[in-house]
Amino acid sequence: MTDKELISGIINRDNVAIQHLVVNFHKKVIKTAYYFVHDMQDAEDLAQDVCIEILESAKHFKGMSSLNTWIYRITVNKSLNFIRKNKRKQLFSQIEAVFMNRDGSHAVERLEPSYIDTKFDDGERKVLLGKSINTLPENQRTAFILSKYDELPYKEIAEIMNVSLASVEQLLHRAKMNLQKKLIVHYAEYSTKKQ
Amino acid sequence: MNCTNFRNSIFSWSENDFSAFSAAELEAHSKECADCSFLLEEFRKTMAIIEQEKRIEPNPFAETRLLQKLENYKEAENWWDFPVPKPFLRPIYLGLGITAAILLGVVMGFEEGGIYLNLTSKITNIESVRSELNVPDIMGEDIIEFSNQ
Ligand SMILES: [Zn+2]
Repeated sequence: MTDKELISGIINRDNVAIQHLVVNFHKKVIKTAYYFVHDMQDAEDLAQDVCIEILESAKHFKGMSSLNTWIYRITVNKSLNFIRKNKRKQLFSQIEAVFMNRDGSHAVERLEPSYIDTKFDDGERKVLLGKSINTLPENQRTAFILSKYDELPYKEIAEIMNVSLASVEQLLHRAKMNLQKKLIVHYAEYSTKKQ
Repeated sequence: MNCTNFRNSIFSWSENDFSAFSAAELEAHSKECADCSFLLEEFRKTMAIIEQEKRIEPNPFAETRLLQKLENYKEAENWWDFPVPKPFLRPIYLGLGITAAILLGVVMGFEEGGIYLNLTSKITNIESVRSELNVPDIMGEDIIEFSNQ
């Protein structure tokens, strides 16, 4: 089924087309949403919203980009909106306190030699990573997730984000540098907390 | 190579990008600096989490739930989906709507007016009011006398 056939089937509410949409895109949409929100139930709800949006907006799809790109764009927008609206609900913001010292200040960046014995487990690493990614600016975060998690080529990321290829490269470079910096700070903070 | 240089190169190193520093320089520093060595190891383990997260699978019932949701959406859509007239037919639809509203108003007006007319005609007929309210004749005479005074 081509993009055009699928879209026209969706507009006509054809069951075969809707089934095709679900089989081919649903899992991808859930996973991408999960990479943003880090919660499978929220990701599932978001994927439902994305599919409803596809049904509602199919008549406006002009075919300027591929259907795949269009669906990714809807997924990214829905996920970012969800995060904006549910900032308090976010798993990683809830544990913010864990990373703060008792006086409320952030731990020093310098990692003292005595802290190097600190052992992290994968659960803690997952939290550190999620927190670090979630504090990246939205466009850096989107570029990073689409590149590192979804493994999309730069060209497709550029189309989804509606920016140039050079911008994607720049955003990714900044995202990696920021993430590296944030992770190092978090290792130090968390080491201090665990002592 | 100092600690800052090393820490700024960890991500590049993990992606085999040696444009700033060679692998040999980075390895030499990580061997002599316990802090940076620890950070490098932790960074690699943290990045491995991305690979773990990529393998996560959605709930097997998620697809069924979605199909049900889309089915419900379609049904709700049909329920609310009134036929939208073609642009050139819209004035006719509008005219028909206004005519229907006027007719409805007239019919209702007649009904309401009819009740009112019936009531007033009954009230003017004092005998029928008296019989409907079971008013004894004597009382009527008192009222008349009172009103005459
Ligand atoms: Zn060092």
